[in-house]
Amino acid sequence: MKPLAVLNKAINQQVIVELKGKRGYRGILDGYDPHMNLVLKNAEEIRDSQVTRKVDSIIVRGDNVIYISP
Amino acid sequence: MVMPLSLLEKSMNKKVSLLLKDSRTLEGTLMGFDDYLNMVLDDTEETNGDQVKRLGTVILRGNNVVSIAPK
Repeated sequence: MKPLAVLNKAINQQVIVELKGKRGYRGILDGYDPHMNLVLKNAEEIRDSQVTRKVDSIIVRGDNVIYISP
Repeated sequence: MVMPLSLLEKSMNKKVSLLLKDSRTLEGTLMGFDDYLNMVLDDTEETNGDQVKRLGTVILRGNNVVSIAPK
């Protein structure tokens, strides 16, 4: 059960991405790469548990990721 | 599946909105990037809280980036 294989199964599913600095995103996983850079669509940006904005698509740089929950 | 760097390639010569690790935001036209997510932005505007700075052309080091939203 490799992490990126599990991540691959979450493609086109809703995921919660928890980032460093009390940030996060909730959206549909559209893609990723070996750095765990992510593409999310229909994503909500979360700061201190509040939704701060909604975007059609967004790239998240992998080094900020704490966890991704499908 | 859309790989992160291919979405960035599609955003070339378009406006992007960047969130940085220190909560600054940069908005500008994406003129180039590399595998590290280093980027060249044109007509860049930096927003830090309610303070806005016009920067023109910027070479941004990729390690500061949290997220990139094509506009």
